[in-house]
Amino acid sequence: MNKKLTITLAALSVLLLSQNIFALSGRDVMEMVKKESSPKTTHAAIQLDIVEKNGTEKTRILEMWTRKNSKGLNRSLIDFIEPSSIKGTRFLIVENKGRPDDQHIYLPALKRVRRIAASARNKSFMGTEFTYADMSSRNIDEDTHTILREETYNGRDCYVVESVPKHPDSYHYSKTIKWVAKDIRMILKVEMYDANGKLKKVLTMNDFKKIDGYWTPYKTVMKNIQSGRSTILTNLKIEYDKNIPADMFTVQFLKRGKTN
Amino acid sequence: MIDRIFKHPWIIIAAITGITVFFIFQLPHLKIDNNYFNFIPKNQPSLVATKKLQKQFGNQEIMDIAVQAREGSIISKKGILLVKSLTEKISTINNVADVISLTNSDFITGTPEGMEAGPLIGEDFTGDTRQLYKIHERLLSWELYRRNLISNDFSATQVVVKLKNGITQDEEKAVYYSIKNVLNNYSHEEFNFFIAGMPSIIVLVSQNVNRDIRTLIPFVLIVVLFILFLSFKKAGGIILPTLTVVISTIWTLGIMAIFDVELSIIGTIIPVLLVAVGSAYGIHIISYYYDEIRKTEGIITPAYHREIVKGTVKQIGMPVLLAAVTTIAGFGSLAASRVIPMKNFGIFTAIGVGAAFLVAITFIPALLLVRHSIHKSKPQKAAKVTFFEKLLSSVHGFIQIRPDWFIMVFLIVVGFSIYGSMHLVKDNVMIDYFKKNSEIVKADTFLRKNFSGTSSFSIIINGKKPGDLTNPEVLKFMDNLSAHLKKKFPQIGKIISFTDFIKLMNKSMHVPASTDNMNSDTSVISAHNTMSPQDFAALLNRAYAHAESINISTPELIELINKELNYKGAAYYEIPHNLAKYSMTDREQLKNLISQYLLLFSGNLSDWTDDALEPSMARMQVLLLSKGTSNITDITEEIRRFAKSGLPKGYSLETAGFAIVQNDLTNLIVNGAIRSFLISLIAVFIILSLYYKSLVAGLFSIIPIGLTILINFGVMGFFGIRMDIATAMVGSIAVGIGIDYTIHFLSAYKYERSKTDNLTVVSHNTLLTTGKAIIFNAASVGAGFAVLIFSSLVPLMYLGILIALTMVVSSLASLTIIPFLLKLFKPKFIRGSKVPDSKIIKQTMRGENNE
Repeated sequence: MNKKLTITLAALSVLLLSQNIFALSGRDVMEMVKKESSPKTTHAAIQLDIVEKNGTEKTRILEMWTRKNSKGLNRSLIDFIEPSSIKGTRFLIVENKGRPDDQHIYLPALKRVRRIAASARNKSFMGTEFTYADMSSRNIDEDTHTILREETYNGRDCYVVESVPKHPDSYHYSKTIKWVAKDIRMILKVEMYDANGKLKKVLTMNDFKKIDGYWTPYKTVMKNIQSGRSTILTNLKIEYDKNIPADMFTVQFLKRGKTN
Repeated sequence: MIDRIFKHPWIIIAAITGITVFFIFQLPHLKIDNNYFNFIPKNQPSLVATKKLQKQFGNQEIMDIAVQAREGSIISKKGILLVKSLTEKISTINNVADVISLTNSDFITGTPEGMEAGPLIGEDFTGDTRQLYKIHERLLSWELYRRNLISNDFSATQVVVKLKNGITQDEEKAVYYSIKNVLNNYSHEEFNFFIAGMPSIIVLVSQNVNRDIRTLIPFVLIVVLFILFLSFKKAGGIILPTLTVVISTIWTLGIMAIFDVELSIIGTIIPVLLVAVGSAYGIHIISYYYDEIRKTEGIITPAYHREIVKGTVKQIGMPVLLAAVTTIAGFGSLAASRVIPMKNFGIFTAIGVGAAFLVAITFIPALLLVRHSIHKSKPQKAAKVTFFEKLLSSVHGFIQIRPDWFIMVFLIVVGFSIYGSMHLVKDNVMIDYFKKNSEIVKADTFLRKNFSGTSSFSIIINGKKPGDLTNPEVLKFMDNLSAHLKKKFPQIGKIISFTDFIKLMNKSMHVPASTDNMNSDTSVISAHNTMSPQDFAALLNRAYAHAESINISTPELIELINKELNYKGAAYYEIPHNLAKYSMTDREQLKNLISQYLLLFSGNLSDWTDDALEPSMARMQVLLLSKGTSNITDITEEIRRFAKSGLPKGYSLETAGFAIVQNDLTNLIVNGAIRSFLISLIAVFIILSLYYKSLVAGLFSIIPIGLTILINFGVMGFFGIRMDIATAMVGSIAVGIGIDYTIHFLSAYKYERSKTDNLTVVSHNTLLTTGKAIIFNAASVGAGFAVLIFSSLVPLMYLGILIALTMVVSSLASLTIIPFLLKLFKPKFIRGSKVPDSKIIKQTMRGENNE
């Protein structure tokens, strides 16, 4: 059970190469989205706006580096910039094959690195509407995928795919419905349904731009229909495939804030 | 006027029937609402504050479920799997916002390297002994879990069900029954299930009200009519008054339905009251009518019959109107209450009494006109002196002979009543609406005994800007306040606070580098060596030296030892406040540390603060073991006093929540009832003073009823009957009904007085004629209310008993005190020559014709 915060943050920005698509099964569509090559490294400055039901907004800013190793496993480092009370707090996530991620946090006020062993997947990430589970990708065969219909969404021809978990206990959504753009092979919208089959959250990806050859949504909105809260994720800056040293993703770096 | 009205009796009949049919169709729209949230005015500060609280932190009313293993610990394989399945099933019920249980709670603990966070019961739960032991250990490790997720004897666990904010009563009802359904699917052989909490109580009150209305009201009607039949011995005379009552009740409830006025627990009494009181008006008319018929010799022609009917209305209208107006004043006085159901009760019983009067004065004569059957006058039976009359005679004789004894008895009764009244408890405790052996009371008792109570309120600390609530100064204040309240008020079961989570995080982040090594500063023990008995004793003594009192409990001692050794960071289970201890140089760093802790909670503290990282508001929840509201004012005052001296500048504190709203409701009920009761007395005083053109008459009239109310409060005090939403109304109801007895007695007395100056003869005659009728009348009303003894709701039961009591007392008081006073003071107002209405009243109250 990997919690791949990075994957989704990156996946939100991942661009798929253009290719002719033959409308096949729902699984094929998901396979197509998944199969597209993803960047080796990502470096982004991201603004998170947390919007309450009553419209009040709170802003957090973070900088994030992600690097994929030779085995395709991600390592991510998040450095919090705003608000100032958490400035300098750094979060390291190392994806492992077949076992939970290693997570470490550096609290500047304590000047200590602490290992975090968290297994609560359905908890909010940093007070956003994203849960840890939302941030991680699911194995295609964990769900049964069906194409419900094809329709135009946001001016793009889309497959509308319904994904139902094969083991309902394994996922805290009873189903998700995704709008996959045929041309850019990106997911444009996801509807997530709760255990009662009621619409709980809607994720939308907007403002796609092609950066370093990858289609990237500059604005991603997660709206919780039931609570009325939403989180808006905006890319302030993003670059792909730049050289990020491997020793940035170590506990030593976490503590010192610099490579040797 | 009367001529015109009775020219076309069919029109009246058709109109009244039409209106009645119209209202019958409104009845299905009548709703029952017992959510006390809707009982108090919308602008009541406690209600405004609580609504604000709910907007920020969600519905504060919770359904409490407890699961108890019949044998052994609930922490068993079966027990945990049951709670897990139950949690999942309840989570899927519509309008359930959240379920908190043993199986979906988190556990956070420190490790030498960092922190572990995850489910309290892991996904790998198999139920083996080692795991069960681990769960026990975890539950004991944080005070927040104790008496919350686990009972003191480990036999039971609590499942808290939060409902969505703003759902309707029908939706709440659906949730309640869905939960019951879920619970019914489990084996009750090995486990006991309890379901309590305010939403359950409200649902059940409404259900009982519904049942009472359906089963008790017809029963009341039968009892009242039976007693009236016994006294008037005329079946025909019963049917028309019954119609009056049924029609006026339908009108009243119909009007309530049209104006969307919901029936509450006390709404049940409206029909009872209308039946018991409204029947009298019809009886007066019918009775006078029959007297006139009987007086007539031979065949009655339609024309003459019409004259009799008209004469009846003319003669009887005024005194019945007087009785109706005073009754309306009595009941209507409740409209002055700020408690909405009481206010509605006042308005609609007044309307109902008005309707009963109107129907009696128009519909009955109209029906009589239409019927105009041929009546034969029957010969009068010789008046027999009954045992009852003998009794009245001897009581009267006794008062005449020994006025000193009468005064003594009066003073003793007054004395006892005042003494009893001083012990009157005023508390509207909703759980006490139910009988002791009912399921809900058992559940509530269980939850209060084994967990942290079923009633709560919140303390909200507000800062001015984002991040203000990461200031260690204010957090320290909150922590101190919590400790202070817990120490001072034993009825506080638990206080859960925003600070508990910060303390837990601080503890988890300060676990010594290796648990084997203990705290190097203070410990002389190395785990690699075995601990010597001396070391152990030294440790115990050092820990004990930190105790706050000589006698401490085992959990307290263990906590002290943990702190002494910094076991799993126990020495840091505190708000980081001391700069040196945390090697910091300024306060800002401490604030940032707290922000950084909050980041680790990943924003899952939305029940406790407004913002995950930079809170400007934080909440403490005070859970109460007591079921009443009587101590809440003490607690909130203590909170304010404590805040005055300790709350840092720039912060404000407010209290809100259901326990406080309920406390307010109790105060409103009591104040409203007392105000209404006084208004009704004054109104009656004014009406009677005007009627007799004498202030003395007004004063004399309210003495018997005043005594009645005093005795009522005395009895309530002596027998521990609490003043709640129903029993608080007894005063106004008793004034409304009881004053009629005085009115009737005064009129009859005046009539007898016009015949002779011998006051003993006057009072004796009045007593044996009208007095007897008054007793019958009181008996019928009292018996009608006594039916409420069979109500499933305790306040209605007591209301029934108390009204029955006040009917007995007020009728007897009228019959004894009034003649006594009239003899003693010989006031002018009663001496006048013939007054036409007195004769009528005398006759109608007797219900027979002796002339």
